[in-house]
Amino acid sequence: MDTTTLAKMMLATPCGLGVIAGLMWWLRRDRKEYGKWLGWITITVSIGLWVISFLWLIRWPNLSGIQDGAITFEWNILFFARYFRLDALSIFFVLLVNTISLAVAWNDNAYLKMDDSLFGTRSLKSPVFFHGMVNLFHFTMLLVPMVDNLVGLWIAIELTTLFSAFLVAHEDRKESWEAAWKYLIITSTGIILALLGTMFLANAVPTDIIPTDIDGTPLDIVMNWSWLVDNASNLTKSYVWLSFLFVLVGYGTKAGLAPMHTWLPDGHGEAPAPISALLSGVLLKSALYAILRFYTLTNIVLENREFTSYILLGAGLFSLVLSAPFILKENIFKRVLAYHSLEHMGIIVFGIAIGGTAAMFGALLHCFNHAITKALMFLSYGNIIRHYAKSNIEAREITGVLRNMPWNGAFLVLGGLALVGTPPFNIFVSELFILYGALSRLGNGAKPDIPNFPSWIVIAAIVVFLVSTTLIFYGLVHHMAHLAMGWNERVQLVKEKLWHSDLGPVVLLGLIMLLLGSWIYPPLARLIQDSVVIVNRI
Amino acid sequence: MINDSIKTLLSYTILLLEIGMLLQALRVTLSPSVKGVIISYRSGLFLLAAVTGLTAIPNLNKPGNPWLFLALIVLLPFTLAFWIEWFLSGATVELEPIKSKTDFVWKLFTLNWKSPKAEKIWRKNETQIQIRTGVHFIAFSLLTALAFVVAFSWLKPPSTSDSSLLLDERTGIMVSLALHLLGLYNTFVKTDIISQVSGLFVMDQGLFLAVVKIVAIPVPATFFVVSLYFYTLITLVILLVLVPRVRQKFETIDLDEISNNSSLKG
Repeated sequence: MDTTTLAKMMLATPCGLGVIAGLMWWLRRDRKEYGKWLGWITITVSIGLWVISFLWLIRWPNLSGIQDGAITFEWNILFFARYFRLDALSIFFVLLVNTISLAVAWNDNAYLKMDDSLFGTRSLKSPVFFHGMVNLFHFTMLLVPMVDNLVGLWIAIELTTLFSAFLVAHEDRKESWEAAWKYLIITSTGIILALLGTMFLANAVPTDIIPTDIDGTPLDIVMNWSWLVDNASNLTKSYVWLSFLFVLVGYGTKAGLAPMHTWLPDGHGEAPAPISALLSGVLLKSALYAILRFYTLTNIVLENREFTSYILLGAGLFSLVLSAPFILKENIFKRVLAYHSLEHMGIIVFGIAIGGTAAMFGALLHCFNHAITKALMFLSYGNIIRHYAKSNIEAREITGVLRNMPWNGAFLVLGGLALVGTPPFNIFVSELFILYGALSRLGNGAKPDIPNFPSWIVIAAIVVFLVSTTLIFYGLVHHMAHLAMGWNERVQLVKEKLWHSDLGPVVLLGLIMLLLGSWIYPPLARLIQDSVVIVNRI
Repeated sequence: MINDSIKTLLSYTILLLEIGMLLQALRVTLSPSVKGVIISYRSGLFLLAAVTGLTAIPNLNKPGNPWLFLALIVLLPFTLAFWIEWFLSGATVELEPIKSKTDFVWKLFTLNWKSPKAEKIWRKNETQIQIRTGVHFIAFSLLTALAFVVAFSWLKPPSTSDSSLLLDERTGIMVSLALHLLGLYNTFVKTDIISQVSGLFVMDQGLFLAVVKIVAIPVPATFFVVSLYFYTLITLVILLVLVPRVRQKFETIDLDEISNNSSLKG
């Protein structure tokens, strides 16, 4: 099968599955056995999609239909996003989405309760509805890196909000609805600014260069990223400049960058653990992907990187600094993990701002590493919460995890150590790349592939980076020590049940995390290198 | 063909209508009651529909589907203006179910989607709110001034020989930006979850105007029109699903009360 057909299958399968599940729920035809089947079908589909994206990874750049480093195709069925384009950067993000989605789909079966009362009543807690929303969410997150049209990209990101809001509120508690409310209000406000930014970009295109068909009807390819990049020299600079500002605020809200991150702790904290894994691991990266596309385009149009890089440097460091006090204070562990997402988005954006091959490679690798590690943390912590809940112990009281749940506890501790950048784990490697990229700029003078920052700015940024990550290291280790090794005499638990849906995804993610700490799989390194070339284009 | 004097007349009329939209956005901010918000919002939508129609006139003979584009873009504000009161009532209280088809048709033709219970709650809230007119007026002036500076000073549009087009476009950008900023301001200053959504509505109007004015008709803007429909979908989900659930769970629409009873802190 050629790449185009596989790409269409990749989009159609979760979308179709989601629509069928949604219809079953709406027509009150959802039954307990359907809930179970859907769970297994979702896992099977997720495995299939992951295999396709892995095959793309190992065959890159020799995929069928590739021309000038990308595969382009039209698919009129999706009228709002009918232009598709797969280049190294898109395939990298597709792989990221499918990896985390596979682990989450596997864990969903352990999370979902199959109470008879939830079926046939249009309950939002119905497992059939949950699977439907998860599949639609998966579909929209795959759409983001595949679509070429920037308005289509906006619609895809906007749809991720719609489906994920229902998943945040899935547990139907007061707090989960409040979290969903904040999430939707804040991200909608942000995303409206991103659309306005996209409109400014549309206005940057002079009318005389818009291609037309034989009848003189203007073609709508003008909002395709690839077309805009090819015609960058004709775009009006001031509109592109303004567009980037709006897009950064808009998609930055969705990516959880400070100061627009306020939905993040509530959303991540109140969502079911598998959904928190998707939100933190993939959703934030999808918004970042959109920022990256605009970043590249803006740099090409403005013919320099300074404008975008200064703004991104500020946003990255601000996110990093702001997350530190919230991680240091006493808080619910899931909220601590949410603030960690803020920190890591800050690190990624810092890497992009520093620019150059090493730091950009580190930033993209960090996207993957953070997604793996954070999903591992949320899934194992979700398993722990469920296990303790059987003994009526609330999340706030959980302690002594290593003793009571040695398997999940061990992976949680390993994930925690990875998250704070301890060697020999994956995050240490990507942070090292970013730091090396920053340090290697000092004294080397101006280069065409890096923004021309004065040395004192780079030094100050490195100092802020190191101080913040050190404080955060202390904060998370403090939380982890209490969680893993604390003592509470009330805690008398039944033995840890090692069910495949509980532990399987955690082990899978744990192995990837450990592997990436010591060895970057060469096809992955090549894909990231090619992605760096795309992002660094000027 | 339209001669230059008609073009000038059209452009001045559009300018006046756009200023009217800005003033309606200010009224949304200043209004202490949901009822007042609804009236101002509806007025804003009608002005928007008029701007859309007038902007489209010189372009209707151009290639593409300008009529379809125009119909799609006007349909949405009118539909929202028509249903808004019913949406907000449903968000405030549990609405009585429509008894019969006749009842539905009667409501449809008499525009009688009001809910006395909802209005009672809105009136109760109205008496508890103190509107700081001076502060809001200063904020309005500052935000509009910022939008003016961006549109007329920072932006350097593509060179065009038609200076009236240039002015038209810049005014459109200014008003659209100002509506976005005012909408954002509204979401911060409103004290109940129903009125807070009005901030999103004002931003929504800014987006509509941007599509009409910035992405010139009939340049390929189909995607933008579709995106407006998707955005409206989100707003409707907020109004029809989220707000009623939050209100049910917290048994209030007051944002301060919700915040005080919330455990989501830190």
